[in-house]
Amino acid sequence: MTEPLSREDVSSILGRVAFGATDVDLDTWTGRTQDELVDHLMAVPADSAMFSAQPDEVKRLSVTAAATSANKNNGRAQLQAAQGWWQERMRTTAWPLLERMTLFWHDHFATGLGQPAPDVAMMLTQNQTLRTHALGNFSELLGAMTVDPAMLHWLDGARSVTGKPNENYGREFLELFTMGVSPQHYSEGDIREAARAFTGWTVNGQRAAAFDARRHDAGVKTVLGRRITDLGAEEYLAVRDAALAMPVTSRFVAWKLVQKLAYDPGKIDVMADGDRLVARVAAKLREAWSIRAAVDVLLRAPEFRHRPAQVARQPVEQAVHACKALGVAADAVQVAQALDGMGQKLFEPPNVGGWPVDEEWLAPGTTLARYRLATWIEAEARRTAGTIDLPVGPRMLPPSDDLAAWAARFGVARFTPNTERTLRGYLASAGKANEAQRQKSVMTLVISSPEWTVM
Amino acid sequence: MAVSRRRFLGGTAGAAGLYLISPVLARAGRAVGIGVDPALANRRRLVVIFLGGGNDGLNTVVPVADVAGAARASVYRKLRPSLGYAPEQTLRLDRAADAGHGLGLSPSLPYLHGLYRDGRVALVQGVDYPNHSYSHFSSTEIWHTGEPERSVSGWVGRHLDRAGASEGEVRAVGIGNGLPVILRGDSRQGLGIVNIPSTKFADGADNDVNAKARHDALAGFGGHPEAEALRALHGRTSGATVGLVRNLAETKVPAATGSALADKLVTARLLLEEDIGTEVVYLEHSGFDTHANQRAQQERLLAELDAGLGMFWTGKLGTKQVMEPMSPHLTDRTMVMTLSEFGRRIGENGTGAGSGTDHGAASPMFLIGPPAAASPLVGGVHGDHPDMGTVALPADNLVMTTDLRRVYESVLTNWLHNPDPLYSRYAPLPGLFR
Repeated sequence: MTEPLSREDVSSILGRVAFGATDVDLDTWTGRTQDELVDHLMAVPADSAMFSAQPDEVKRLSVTAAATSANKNNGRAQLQAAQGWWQERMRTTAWPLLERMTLFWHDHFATGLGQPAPDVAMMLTQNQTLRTHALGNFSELLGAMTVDPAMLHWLDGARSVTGKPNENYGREFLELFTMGVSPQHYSEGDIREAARAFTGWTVNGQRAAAFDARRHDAGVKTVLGRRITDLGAEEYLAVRDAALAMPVTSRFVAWKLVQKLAYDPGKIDVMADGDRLVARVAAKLREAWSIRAAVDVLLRAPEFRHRPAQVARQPVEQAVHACKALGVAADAVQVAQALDGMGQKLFEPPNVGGWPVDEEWLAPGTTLARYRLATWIEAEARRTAGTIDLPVGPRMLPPSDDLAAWAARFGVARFTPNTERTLRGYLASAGKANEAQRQKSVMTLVISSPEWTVM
Repeated sequence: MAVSRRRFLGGTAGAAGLYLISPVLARAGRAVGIGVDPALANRRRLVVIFLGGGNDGLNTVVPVADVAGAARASVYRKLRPSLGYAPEQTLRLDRAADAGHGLGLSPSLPYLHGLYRDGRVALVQGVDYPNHSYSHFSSTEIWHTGEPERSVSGWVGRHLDRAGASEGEVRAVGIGNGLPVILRGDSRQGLGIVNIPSTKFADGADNDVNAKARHDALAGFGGHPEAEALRALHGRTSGATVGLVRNLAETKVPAATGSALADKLVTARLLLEEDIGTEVVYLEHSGFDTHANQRAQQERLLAELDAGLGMFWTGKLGTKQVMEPMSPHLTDRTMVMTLSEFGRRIGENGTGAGSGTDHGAASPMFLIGPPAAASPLVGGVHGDHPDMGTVALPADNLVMTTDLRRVYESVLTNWLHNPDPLYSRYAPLPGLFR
């Protein structure tokens, strides 16, 4: 695409895949091409060593298995530390697309803390695995998740043994991770046979995955028409390859990428029907299972450019964006609390299906928690004014009546006429409110506005 | 002059009217028995409890005796050597009319059993839908929409569409984050709140003049609907939020109980007691996906359900008086029903205490009504138990005997007096209501 990006395009694109635009971003990218912006977003090192400083960071968080299991409250504190750490990483990263994709996969392979396991340390290990593969190879990612310690606990793989296979992981592997709900493509029998092939994997005392041949079902299985026999610890890879060989798998994963990053393609039969972007992303994905290549197709598509109100951003994207706009650190406990109220806690998805989409986020509870977040961020920005690390140095809040500056600060190209009228109406009726009160009101209302959530 | 508890949004009422309604009665009026809108005060209430994860029906309502032509108890004992209950551990469903069913309740449900003996509990066996989905997500959606064959809005949401709502009315509330499918209609929807204490503004109440101006402005997003559907819904939700916060500003809320479910039932009670027209409350009690460690996990969850139900009507959680007992007026007008996305398979999937069960199909539903003398709900066992095969050739799964649409149609027709045209082909269950 060579047609220059509009301010709306930049706002919308960065809003959906980069935790929101700053005013600098809007000025920088408006008028340049979509390819140039995508080149910039995709400039994530291929070598994961470049972005995997995580063991040190985990150490700094003093998250250890022993500390987690020793004390439940300590576990909560560690969880908040871990959540804050990732939120702050989302805010400050040089590669926001990498963090956005890591979040995408956390949602796709939704794993949560469970008592007594998995614990925070395992969740952080999984988080690093997700980041390593976030723009890597889907086949490798799928294999890694299948024998990921947190996942082995979360979906009961660790307790599935020969003779008594536990179907939990086998079912979600097919339904949520690869093929979607598609009874025409796999049967209950495939789930049971996959569960048999997955037996034998456990989590050892060092909280690492381990294969125990005695627990493994050595019999013949047939999964998706593929006969699997005598492969022992490799059988999970055979099941993975059988699932990847099904054309519906690339379509389903592509559909989900479009739904979460671009727009809602609707509840469709991904094989029969036709969202053209889904089909193109799927075709690219299937070539070599390169996530980077598939996301590249998605981001460069004309359909990915701005159309009004394509997707309701998740709470964590909004929280990180708000913190970024005002240069407020995103690791405070208040941010995690507001996210809890909005229904999104990192490392604690509501269930293995991941987080809701679109209208399911829109409710008074969410509205009030978002409002609470805005109130806190405003106070925090004022408290830390002059000391904070905004991209172009410390800045104060815009004057209350400079609505264009407020829109820009929050990465919105321009307010809708309705929001403009609401804000002007407030300013006209604010009476004796002083300038600080007015700024606080405008900021709270901007964060509460429809166009800020629905981009 | 009575002062209405429900406050209105002035210029934004038009948009907020999606949720709101006709002026009703003041709490002051209600207290002295005058001025209460009888249509609203006498409205039947429904609390829907979703047992998320797929509650194991067979360890909730246990086959304890073989009955003519069906060796259910024998099959149960054979397939559940670790998880099964012995007959004497269960609470027998032993009212005269039910003795022939050979069933007992989980020992974790003593309060429910008491209500059963009082004739307040209708148990519908084997409820499901054709071409059952074993997916949590697909099956949950079907239980929420009440329609397995095509994509439609939520069955309570459709009730809202047909019933309408006047300004200020909050006819249906979901307790939890976001807005569940069940409450989403085509033109109207319920409201989702986490609890009442959090249904407040972080910057203070309306008595701060600056805060009030902000809240008024927030409500204003609902007054100028955006063109795009999602943004318009966002705006309407803002307007409704401000109305709800103002309506609940004076509601006295007991301290947290320590039970997440009991806290939700406290919220449900308070909403039903407010004069804001709340008719349906939806809440979830999750964790029933017992692929492992089922016995301990399900017993804990069912015991919490049982204690929560006790609190809902008596105000007492265990020995602690959390709130007043439910008033006779409300008791006579309130029904609770339980749903779950599916039951679980007949056989257990492991050995010993760690074993569990995998996703299954049909399961029982409970409907709990007013005291029997005043209740249109007929207590006791309804419908047929699903076939479990024979000891020599046991079934793997429970196939439905009652289509969930018939249960919903019964509730809509006989309890809420608002039948759903979508269910015109489905007769209400005979004998479930009198």
